Parts: sequence; C-alpha cells; structure tokens
Amino acid sequence: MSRTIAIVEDDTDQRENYADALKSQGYAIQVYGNRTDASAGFRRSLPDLAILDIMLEHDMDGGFDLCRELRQQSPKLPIIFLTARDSDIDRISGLRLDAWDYITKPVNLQFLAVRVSSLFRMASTIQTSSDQPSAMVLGDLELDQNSMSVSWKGQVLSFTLTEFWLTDALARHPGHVKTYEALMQTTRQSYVEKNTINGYVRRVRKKFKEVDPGFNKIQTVFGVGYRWQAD
Amino acid sequence: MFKTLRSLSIKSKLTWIALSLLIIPWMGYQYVQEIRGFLVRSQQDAQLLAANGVATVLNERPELFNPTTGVQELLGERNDLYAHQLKNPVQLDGEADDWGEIANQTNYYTGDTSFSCDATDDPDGFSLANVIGYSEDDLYALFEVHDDQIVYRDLDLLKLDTSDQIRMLLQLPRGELRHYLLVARAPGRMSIYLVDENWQMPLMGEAVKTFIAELAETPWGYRVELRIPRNIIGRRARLGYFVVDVDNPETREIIGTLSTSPREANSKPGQVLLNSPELTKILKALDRPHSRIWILDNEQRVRAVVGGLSAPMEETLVGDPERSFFARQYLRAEAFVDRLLRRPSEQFDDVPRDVSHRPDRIFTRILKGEPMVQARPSLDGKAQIIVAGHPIRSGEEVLGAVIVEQSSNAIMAEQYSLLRNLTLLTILVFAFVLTTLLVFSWRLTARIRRLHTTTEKAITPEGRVIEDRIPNRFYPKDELGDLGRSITSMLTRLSGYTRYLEGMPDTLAHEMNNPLNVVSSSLEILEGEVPGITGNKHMQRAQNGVNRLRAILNALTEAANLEDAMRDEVKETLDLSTLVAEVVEGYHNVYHEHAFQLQVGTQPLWIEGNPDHLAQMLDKLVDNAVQYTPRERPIVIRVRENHGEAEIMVLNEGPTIPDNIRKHVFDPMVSYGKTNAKQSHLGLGLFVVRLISEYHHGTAFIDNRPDIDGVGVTVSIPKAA
Repeated sequence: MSRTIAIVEDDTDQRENYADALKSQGYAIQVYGNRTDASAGFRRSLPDLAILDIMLEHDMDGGFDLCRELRQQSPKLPIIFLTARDSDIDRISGLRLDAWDYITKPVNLQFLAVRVSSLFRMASTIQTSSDQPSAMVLGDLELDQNSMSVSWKGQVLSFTLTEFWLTDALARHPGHVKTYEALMQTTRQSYVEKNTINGYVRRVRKKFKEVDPGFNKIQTVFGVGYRWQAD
Repeated sequence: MFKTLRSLSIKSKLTWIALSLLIIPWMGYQYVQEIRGFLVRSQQDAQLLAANGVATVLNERPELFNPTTGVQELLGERNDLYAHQLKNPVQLDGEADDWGEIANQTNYYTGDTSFSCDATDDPDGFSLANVIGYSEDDLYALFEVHDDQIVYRDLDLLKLDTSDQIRMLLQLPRGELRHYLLVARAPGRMSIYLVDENWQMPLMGEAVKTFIAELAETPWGYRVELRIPRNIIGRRARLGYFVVDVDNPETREIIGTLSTSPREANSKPGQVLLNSPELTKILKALDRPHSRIWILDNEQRVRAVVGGLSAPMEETLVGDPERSFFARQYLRAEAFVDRLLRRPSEQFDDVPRDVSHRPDRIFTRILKGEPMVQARPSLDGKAQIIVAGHPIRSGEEVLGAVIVEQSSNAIMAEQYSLLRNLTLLTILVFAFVLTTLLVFSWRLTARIRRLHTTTEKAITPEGRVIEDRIPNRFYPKDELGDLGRSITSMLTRLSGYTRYLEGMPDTLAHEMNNPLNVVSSSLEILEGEVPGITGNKHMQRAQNGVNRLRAILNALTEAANLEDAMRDEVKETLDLSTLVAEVVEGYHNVYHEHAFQLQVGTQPLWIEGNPDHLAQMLDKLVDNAVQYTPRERPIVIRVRENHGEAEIMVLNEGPTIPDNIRKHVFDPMVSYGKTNAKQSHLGLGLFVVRLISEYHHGTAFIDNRPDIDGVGVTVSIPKAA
C-alpha cells in the first residue's frame, strides 16, 4: 500500500508539478486548491503526509489553519510547509504548530522527494521502535539519525529537517570548517545563498541558547563558513 | 511695522495684547470724570433749587429787611461782627491785654474801601481795628486806630468836629437815632457828648456819664476802650461807629472817616449793620451739614448766615493689629494709592474774616435779579466750593439774595474713592489677566515647540519616517491637538507609504516566486521525462535564467528578512578591527580580480554589535565596491577611531557619484553609475548597509574620493561604553 501525500496549493501549475514529481516516486497523491476542499478531504481520509502552502487564495494564513486542524486529527502526522513566504515570523508560527519542515519556494523537486522520504522514515521510526536508540553522542549533544531528534544537555530540541541536517553536518566533524558551499548542499534546497545559511545557523544557535544561554559551539568563520568547536 | 509684528513670537504678541488692557483704567477714569461732572451739575441744581426755595419763602417780605423792624438780637449771636463774650472783666485803662484772645478777633477797616479784610494794608496809614465784647451787664468796644498824628480836642473851639474822635450812632428800639461823640483832650478818660446829627454841637452841656471811654496812645496811634451798659442798648438796638481822623492841629480839617457802615461817614447815617434775627430763625430750619446759607440785602450786606462747610475728619488706621492680614494689606494698598492719586483733603478753611459783607461779583449779578451758580476755590484753596444764588423779590424790586454754599468735597471724595477702587481693581485684574495670558502663552508656545520638535524628529533629513505618531497625551481636543492629530495621520500615511515602498521588493519577490517555481519545477520534470534533454544548451540557458531570477528575488527579500532577523538579535561586545580583518581574509578567496588593502589600527576597537550582521554589511560594502572598480584596481578597507566613533571605510576607484543621488543611494532600489550588465544590481546592497548600521545606532554616508575618481562609503558606529 502506497503512502498518501496531500498537497494543498492554490497555484494549479505548481500543484500539478509537485503531484507529478511525487507520483513518479510511487506515492498516492491528493490535491486540494483551497482550504475548504482540503478540510473536507482530510475529514474523509487522513493522508500520511501533508504539504501545505500558507497563503491559499485569499486566505492569508489558510495553511496555518489547516495545520491546526490536522494536528487535532493526528498529532504525529508529518507536515511540510512549502511557501514563498520567507520570514522568521512565518517560520516560527509554522513550527510552533508542530510542522516538521518549512521549505521556501522555489523548491527542487528532487530535494522535495528526499525530504518526503526522510520524513516518512522519521515517522515510521517514531511509531515502531522508539526504544532502539541510534543516537550519536558528541559531548552534550545527542543526534538521533532515525528520529532526527536533537538534544542538548539532555533536553530535546525541536528542529526542522533542514536544521537537523545542518547541525548534523557541523557536529559530525568538530573543529573542521564547513564552507558555505558544503552547507548549501546539506540543506537540500534548490537555491541557497550565504544569507540563507546564515539564517539557518542563526535559528539553530537560538534554539540551543533557549535551553543553554551559554551555548557557543557553532563558530563563524567569516567569509568562509561555520565550524563546530571541538571539545 | 507689520513686518516687525509678524516677526514677534506668540508670547510677546500676547504680552502686547495684554498691555492693551491698560485702556480699562483710562476708560474708568473717563467714566469717573463723567460721573463727577454729573454729580457736580446735580449738586449745582440742588443748590440752586435750595436757594430758590429759600428765596420763595422770603419773597414779598420786605419787612424782614427793614432796619427798623428787623433789629438784631445783638448780643449772644456768635458772629464776628458782633460781640464776643468776655472771659475776664475789662479795666478801662487803655491796655488791650485784659481783653484776652478776643483782642485778636478784630475787624479791620481802612480808608481806601470801607471794608477790608486785608491785614497787609499799610499800618502807618489811617486804619481801624474794632472788636466788641460783652459781659454780664456791659458792652465793651475796643478800637485800635492807626494814626500817624493824634490831634486832641482844643477846649477853645466850640465846634466838636475839630479833633480825632469816635462817633457812635445808636438806634433805639423805637427807631430813634442818637448821635454820641467821643473826644479826648489828652490820653485818659474821654468826654462823651450827645450831639446833633451833624456831629458838631452838643445837644446838652453835660457830658454823658452813662458811657465811659478811655484813650491811650500806642506806637502806631491810639487805643480806645468803651463801656456801654447793656440796658441802654436793649435787645433790639442798633449800633454804628465812625472814627474820624484830623491830622493838622492848625486847620483841624477832617481828612478821613472810617465807618463800620459802608456809607460815607459824612453822608446821612444809614442803618446800623446788624443781622436780622427773623431771617436767622427761618434759616435755622434749613441748616444742613456741609452747607452754608447766606441772606444778603440789596446793599450786599449779610443779613443772616447759617451752617458751616467743613466736615469732621475721619481717621483711617493703617496696620491696626486687630484687622485681618488681608484687610491690613488692603488698607496698605489703599494708603499707597492715596499717595499715588493725591487724596483730596476733607479739611479746609473757608471762614472769611469778615462775614458781614460779600462783595463777590456773583452777588452783583444776582442782585440784578438773575439766579446763578458758580464754583470758586475755598479761601485756603484746598477745596472747591459751589455757590448758588437766587434773588429775593418783592414785586419788581430785588430785596436781596439767597446764597447757598456747599463744598464739592463730598463729590470729590466720592470721585476719589471710585478712582481708588477702580485703580486697585484694575491693578488686580491686570495682574491676574497678565499672569493668565503669560501662563497661557507660555503653555501654548511650549506645546507648539514640543509639536515642532516632535515633528522634526519624526522624519529624518533624508525623508524617512522614523516616528509615525505624535504622542497625543499633550494634545487635548483643541486646534493644536487637531494639528498634532493631523500630523500624526500624515506621518502614519507617509510611513505606510514608505513601508509599502520599502516592502515592495519583498512583495514583488513573493509574487514572482510562484511562477518561477512553476518554471523551475517544470524544467526539472522535463529533464526527467524527456531523455537526452539534460545536456541541451537551451535547457542549460533556461536553467541559468531561472537561477539568475532566483538570485534577484533573493536579493529583493534579503532586506525584508534582515529587518525581521535583527529584531530580536542580541548584541555582544566585539573588536571591530579583528572582525573586519577576519572577514577581509575570506575575501581573498572569493574575489580574485581585486586586491584588498586592509588598514587597521593596532588597538582593538570595541563596539556593541552582531558579528554576523556586521560581516554581512561588510560583504555588501565590498560587493558594491567590486561592482564599480575596474579590474586589478585595489579596494581599500579602513577601520579607525574618529571622534569617539568606530569607523569602517570602503574606498574604491571607478565612477563618481552625482550629488543628487548621494542622499538617496542608501534607499532601496537606488543605484548609481554603470555596472556590469551581466550582474544584476538592484540597489539593495547599500540599503542593507543602512539597515545594519542603523541597527548598530550608527550612520552611513557616501562621498566621492578627494584624491582620485572613485567613491568611499563610511559607516560610523558608536564605541562600546
């Protein structure tokens, strides 16, 4: 039984392109053009994963509302926000609603498929074998490759997929500088600039600092990239 | 004139307007003057009416003026003309000292006019001072005669009118006239004869014994004391004196006569000058305070007088401890105003020395039958006296006149008190209004100034709105409040528009992102579905174009994202020199076509900042410099301390910046000069520089280099405290 992915996107061309790309990967696809249709559809049958645009027709925050509805129906459903809105406020709103990932347009369809499969892996790990740790421990940092969860000094941090990948890439080689180019690859997005990387790193640092104000493991190598400070 | 007015501040204008309040006391003064004039006219009318009333009572009663009927109760009337009560018995010894103070109350008569009160007359000439006193039984008369040559009686001469003498005319109650002559052979007892009406021959051989007179020589003439028993005179008798002067002992010619009567001594003796008791009785009933009523006969002689003009003086106490503080202050203020306004005195003197005769011109006119009112100063000049007169008639004949005199001091005092109250009130009102106006204007100007300052501060010199509302707690619902509110709404609209303009790139990027996403995802699907298309050169170009579009969109959103990102960023203390050195180190790997000259001091330069954003800012500065700099030309990056601020300068060679763009080059989507056509240049780099420098409380400005063609961008950031 193939997994079902719901795509809620008001732009027909984009919606069909996503659907085509994901269908070719063997997923079953439900597509919705607005919030009302999507809500009705979700009530009929819940998908295994949802890709939501935030702005749906004239509904500025329609994606957020849909996310909230889905969370009520299923707390563990993987949700990806795929949007042209690229502000911290939107990101924070999205993640506060327990979205698993937040991707900004334009998106590379290949990378989208990778993310989708990663999220399915995470979901199945959480559902099946939660007591089998596959964690990598680096001092105070714990990285679980399967569930893609991050904890710092015993406290679990809520990371998006991209943030997890970035942290993983940096922490895997402490003391080594990860150049911007290398980090751009890691994010698995179609087009990433230095500033996009800076933005991700800033958010990652902030999440660490929320649980540990003295956190300073991620160091900037100006003009080049970042590195995880070796112990 | 109007130019100066316009250039005045609101405060001084209001002060000037307040000064116009000074017109109030002036108006008040005019008003008080009017009132005074009105009161004076009313008083004149009232007095004239009173005079008319009195005259009406006296009209058609000629008997009141008849000398033979209306004989005075001679003694006991307190009147200068008449007798004074003697306190001590008088010795007929020719000495005046036993007359006591009565001796000073003499009437003066000189030869020039029959009556005169003027004491400055030549004392060496022939003149007479006469006073009459009475005791229980007797009437006494004292004559002080100025005479340079005393001629005594020659016993050989039969006629009596040949020496210095005193003639006494006595009218008995029945109307019979008696002529008595007082002559002396030497100082001492005088001889008194009853003589004929020509004063020449004695009617009886014997001298009169009932009267006694004593003559004594004085340095200026002679003095005569005379005693007459009161029973001879009776109650209704009349009396008159003539003092006759003879200076030449040879010719013994009469050269002068002084009379207590206005008539010439040698003419037929007229009535003796006495008050009319009937008139006085009538007038007594009319006696009023502050006023004096005279009745004159048609000879201008006073027939009766009642009343007096002066009022008792009121005492005002200043600083009486019994009074309250405010009452004392009020009295003090009153005393001050009294000095300022010269309070009229209520004490004045208008008691003529001689009240027997009023020769004023007004009486001449009244006696011609014409009622009249006029004002004259009191004799001491301290008060104004209103005189109203009305003739008394009997048929066509004018018998006499009624004169009503009253000082206008009551009116003056009233006027003064009005004026004083007005002055005090005006001072108070003026002070109050002036204070109110000053406070008001001070508040108004302060508010306007505050509005001015706030408005000035709301927009930067470059025209950026930094404060989109005027705090309206200072601006209540008046015009100024409306102005503040409309400025607020103006600022809000302006800042909304500015936000719209600044947010436009972001919005644009979002709108373009969706179609771009369609293109790029379609290209991707096409690549997978159409075999062999991957290497196709058109496919490559399409993908290149898509990438360039993405770069543009990214640049467009960067500024908007940056503002969001910086909002909750925490600053740290960092060394700007080290930071810049590290960042520039990285550039050598990126920009191979340009050499970077780093000029950094050896001292650390501490600032409060965010290293990521500072690096981003430097990226933009260098990016900007690289775009304009010709190949192989160096780019100078300088960090130094200047006027207490940390300064980053990036200097490049290349096109200069025109003056008209310089101020706006830090605004979004503004660029200058020609750049590489392949590189998109949206003019957002320097906008980002501005945002980051403002985030660090710094400023950014651009200028042409003075040494060579090229520009330099300077960012100043305050040093860490």
